[in-house]
Formats: sequence, C-alpha cells, structure tokens
Amino acid sequence: MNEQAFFQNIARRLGREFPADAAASPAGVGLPAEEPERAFVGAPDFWTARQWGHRERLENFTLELGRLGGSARVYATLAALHGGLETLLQELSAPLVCGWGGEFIADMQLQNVFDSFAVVPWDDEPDMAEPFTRADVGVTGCDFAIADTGTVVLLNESGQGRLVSLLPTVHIVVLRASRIRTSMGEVWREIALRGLDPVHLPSTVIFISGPSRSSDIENDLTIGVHGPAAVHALIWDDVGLP
Amino acid sequence: MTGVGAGAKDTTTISGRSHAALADDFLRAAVRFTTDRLKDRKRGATEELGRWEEWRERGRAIRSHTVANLDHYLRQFVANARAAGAAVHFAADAQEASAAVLGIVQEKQATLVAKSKSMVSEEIHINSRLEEHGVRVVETDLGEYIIQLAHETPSHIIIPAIHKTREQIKDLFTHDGGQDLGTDTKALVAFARSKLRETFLAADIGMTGCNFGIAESGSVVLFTNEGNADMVSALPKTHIVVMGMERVLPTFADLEVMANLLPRSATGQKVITYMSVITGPRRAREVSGPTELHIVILDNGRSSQLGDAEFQDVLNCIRCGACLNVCPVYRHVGGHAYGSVYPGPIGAVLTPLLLQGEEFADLPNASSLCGACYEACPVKIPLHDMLVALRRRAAQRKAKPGGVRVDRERVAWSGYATLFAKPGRYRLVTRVARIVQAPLARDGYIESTFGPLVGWTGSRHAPALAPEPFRDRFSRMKQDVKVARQNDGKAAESDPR
Ligand code: SF4
Repeated sequence: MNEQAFFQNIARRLGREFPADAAASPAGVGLPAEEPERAFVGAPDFWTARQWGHRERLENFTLELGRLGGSARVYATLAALHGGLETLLQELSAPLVCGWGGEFIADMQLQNVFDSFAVVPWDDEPDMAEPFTRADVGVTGCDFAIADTGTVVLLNESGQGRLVSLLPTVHIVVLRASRIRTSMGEVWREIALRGLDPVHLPSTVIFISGPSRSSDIENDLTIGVHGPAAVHALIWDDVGLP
Repeated sequence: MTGVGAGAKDTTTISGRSHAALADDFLRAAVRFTTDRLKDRKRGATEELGRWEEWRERGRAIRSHTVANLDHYLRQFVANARAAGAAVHFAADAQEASAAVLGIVQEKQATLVAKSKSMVSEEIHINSRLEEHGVRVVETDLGEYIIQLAHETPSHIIIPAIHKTREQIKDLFTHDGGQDLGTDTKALVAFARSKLRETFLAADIGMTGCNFGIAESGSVVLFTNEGNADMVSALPKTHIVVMGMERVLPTFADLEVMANLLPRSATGQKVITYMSVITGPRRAREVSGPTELHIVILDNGRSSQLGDAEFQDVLNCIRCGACLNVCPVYRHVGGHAYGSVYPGPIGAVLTPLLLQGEEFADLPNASSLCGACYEACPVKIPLHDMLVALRRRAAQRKAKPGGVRVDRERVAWSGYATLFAKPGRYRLVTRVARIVQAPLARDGYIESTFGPLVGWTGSRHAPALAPEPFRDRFSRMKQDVKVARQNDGKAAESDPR
C-alpha cells in the first residue's frame, strides 16, 4: 500500500491530519517534528529509584542466573578467574572452542588460556563464520549484566560476533562485576548515552537469561532447544567492596 | 495452512464426531493442566515482583498512549528503521502483506524459509502462499514445528502444541526422519535441535514477527525462550519481519515495562530467555548477520479500531495469552474450537473486529462474560466489556429496518441463532452454553437474573441442555473409533479443508 495513504488513514482515524507531503520524498516519511506530550516514560518511579550496592547486585545476579539453570562463580582476581576458566574447559573437553576476539581478549588477558585450548577467536574476517557453526563451546564477554534477572547483555560489535553466544552447546561468559547493573532500565540509559543512531547502536543487542528452554512437549521443561544448553558466568570481582 | 484442527472436523458422521470427541478428551485435560500451571506460575511471578497493579496500570498507560499517537510513533519507527538500513513495506490487508513477502522471496530466488513463531504470520496465511509457489517454509519454534509436521494450526498462542501427546510427537518426528526415538523429552528435543539446526544454516530467508518496534531507534525486538528467533534473524542472508502496525513502543525505557509484564503474564517466567534487539541489517564492518532487513507493516483491520472509543484499546494487546489461561470457555474447549487464528477471549474480540462480516460475528458468544480475562490482562484491556459491545452491535445489525428498539432478548438470542446455523462451531456453542448455565441451572431449567442469558430467561424458562451427553456414550464411541481407525487409517485424522 502507498505509504502516504497508510499514514493518512491512521491519522484520520485518530482525528488528525497527516502532513500532506510527509511521505512525498522517495525516501518515505521523515522523522516527525514534535514529540507528543507524555505524563511519564518507562517503569514506575519505585522501580527506577532502587539503588543496589555492589555486593547486592553481585549476589543477586549470581542467585538469579542459578535459578534459571545457569551457573555463576565469582573470583577475587583475574588470575583466579583464568584458573577457573581452564578447569571448566578441561572438564568440558570440547573438540572445538570459539570465542570473542579483539579487545575482549586483551581486556580480560585471555591470550594464554585461548592459546592452550586452541580457541578460535572472532576476528571479523569475511568467511570466518564456518567454524563457529560447529563449535561446542563459545566464550564471550558481555557489555552489561542485570542483577534483577541474571541477564547478560551482549552488543554485537567488532570482535563480538553474535554467533559465538548463539550456536555452541555451552556458553561461557567472562565478565567484570563492575558491569552488573540493577535493572534493564539502567542498561538502556547507558546505551542511550552512547547514542541510539545507527552509528552508535549496533545491529543487535541481545539479552540472554540462562540456557535456551522450552516446555512445548507436554509441559515438560527442557533446556538446550536451539540456543546453548548451559550458561556459565565467570565473574571477576574487580570492585571487591564488602 | 493445511488444517484448522478439531473445530472444523467432520461432525456429520459418527466416526468424525468420535474422533473429534476422543481427541478432545486429551485436549481438555491437557488444556486444563497447562492453563492451571501457567496461571499458578503467573501468580508466583507477579507476587514476587510486587505492586503488580501498578505495573499493569503503567503497561496500560504506555500502550494506550502509543496507540492514541500511532501516527506519530509509527512514523518515527519507520524513519529510524530506514536510517538504519531496513526496507519498509506497508500492507493494507493480509493479501498485500503476503504479496510483499512473496515478492522478496522471489526476488531472492529463495527455496527455503526458516520461520520463528509469529501470530501475525498466521494471520496472513503466509506459509500456504509460499508453498503454493514452491517455497519450503519450516517453523522452528518447537511447538510450531510439531504442529506443522501434524498439518495443524496452533491451539494456544504461547504453547501451540498444547494438544499433542509425546507419543504423537514421537511418531511425527519419526516420520520426519528421526530414528529409534523414545518418548523421552530429551531425545525428542535433541532430534528437533539437530534437524532444525540444518534448516537454520541452509535457509535463504529468515522470517519473524515483531514483539515490539522501538520508535526512538527503529529497532525490532523479539522475545523467545528457545533462541530460534535469534537463529532465524542471524543466519540467513535476508531477514523479513512481519509486524502488526500497532506493535510500537516509544522508547527503550517503555520496553523495560513490557519485558517485566510479558513473560510473567505469558508463562509465569520472571524474564524471557532471549530478548533480541535488532536495528537494521548487518553494518558495513560486520561479517555475519543478514545483509537485508525487510519490515512488512500490516494494517488488516487494525486501523478501523482507532478512534473507536469502545475498541481502540484492543490494540494495546501484547499477545501474552494470559486471558486464554483464565477463560472458563477456552479451558473447556481449547483453541481450535474458535476456528480463528487468535483463540480465547482476545480472539473472540479481535477476530470479528479485524475480519468484519458474518463469518466470525458469532465468536463474541463464546464467552461467559465472567471478566476473568480483564483481571488477567497485563495491559488491562476490558475484554468483557468489548464482548458485550460486540454482541450488542451484532444484534443491532440484525434489528429490522425501521425498528429502533433493540431489546435484551434479541441480544441474548442473536448469538445462539447464528451459532446454531453453523455446524462448524456447533460444539463450541453448546459447550459454552453448558459452561455458562452451570451455576444457573436448577432442576433442568435455567433461571437467570444476571449474565448473558438474562434477556432471554427474564421472560421465560429455558430448557437446560443435556449434561455432557458425550460421557454416556464414551465407551461405545471408543469402540466406534477403533473400528473407524482400522477402516480409514490416518485419513480420518486429516482435515476436510
Ligand atoms: S488481551 Fe491482554 S491478556 Fe489477552 S493476550 Fe492480549 S495482552 Fe494478553
């Protein structure tokens, strides 16, 4: 249907005029000039006003991820986290492990661990995706985590390929405790600060809460339907406050 | 769409009726069990969150504000989605929407489309349209996959295969290539996982619905527990989104409210497993993800609700299914009996509104007007008021020309008249009548001083319907079915349409 007519019809039903030439350009409708007035935006005040301390966020995130069937371990030092990651990878003894590349490896100082387990890093080369479709384990970081719900938030940016957290059977997330926020709203406020235009907002932002699940067969809950069957979070407590 | 399920099965022969009735026995138990479970879990999840009524009110206010300013927010959504590189298409009705999708599919010379669960794609009957043109469409939500193999349609908007037993599922999967499958859930799921993984990787096109479109960024937000929408939107080269035009939210801050309301209301989960926010196709620097993102925006009767004080709020619906789970009628008959894409209270309201005309004008009668749907609705849609208003309108349409007075008796009767004229929906109606009359019937007569029968029985006694005649004949019918099965094998299972 004609774009102008589509919008005109909506506006007319609502008792308004749709600007006669709004969709006249070949690019279609442009942005509207003014925002409608709103009494409020988003969650109720009692929700957004909550202020959780570091410890509370860390503990709640760990608890909630566990409830969802995932697991979370907290390490006091980065070296201890590396030890934890090695143990986990040994236990899994996966034939093929893939991981985020780029800054993530440097930031969490993972080069040695990645080398000893021959982890295939996401390096943004064209036609590199193939091994990722076969990988058994994917190791990623996350840009944010949410204490309320045990959620990790992954922005699909350079080095941070989306397939790494999606295709393998086991997803390991390595993160700093300082990335944990109280609620989803806080995460969106920070993402919005960077900008919501296509330059600053990546093509995908994924909120993952525990392993993939379904109850479609006689209400029997099972995990690992399409996405990973296990989600392990290894958290470096980089804040360390009591 | 190759079938419409039990509601439209042949009811003119004993074998047809028996098949339907036997199937219904499991269906009824399964629906009750599932809806009870979902209700209990929802109660737990909402209590844990606390201040649920404030959340509901906020949800209602956000949706009402958005719908009341849809010209603005949809325009903002479209402009931003285009700026991020998406192609946007507008469809006035189901026909235009499926033509738009078909056009893209043909331009890409696609032969395989992987799909994640979307009610709006059911609404435009896209699967059969694509299949007519030789394109294979594979449903990838586990429940949808099961019913696609069975050539049926969903019976619940959240749990589509609510009516299938694990034995039936095992048989369907075996037919689809599974070997030595037991009825163990894990084994069945493992088969579906590996089978559908091939589909994700081979598909030319991924097709999804859209839970929410975010106006301030032009993003499409998808909620799934399985991760199939992620697969479908990440792996194929082209991603097609089909969205109802009302499915917009102004900001990400508003999305937080819906992310709290939707999973709790749908399944009693505190949080959805995967919430994916997609803004445009892959960027120049990215090496994976679709190179094209198409968004097809569908009206199909929605705009007719705008500006209608009685019905505009029906567009607030976030398709959570909570109203189904609490509805005594839905719980008794299941989704197929409605014969429409959207079942339950929301279906009984939405279907006749979207598809005007006589075919579904009787659906508002498939309700006991108990108001449980309104209580359950996370965005406070007054479904019971809308049902009454729809009945009133149907009765007014039937009023003789020149006759002004529409009496209550006419309202009460009109539904029954149209319903009984339709064999396809006969069973639904008699059941509804039985459920509705249950607390009212005494000594085999209905005396009603409230509810939908008041206009009718206010002036006379109505004979009560025979209680559950099906049960009396159960064992005889069982025998009939056995014989019929031996005679006609699976043929009797398939749908006449
Ligand atoms: S009408 Fe309300 S309860 Fe029913 S599906 Fe829509 S949002 Fe959910």
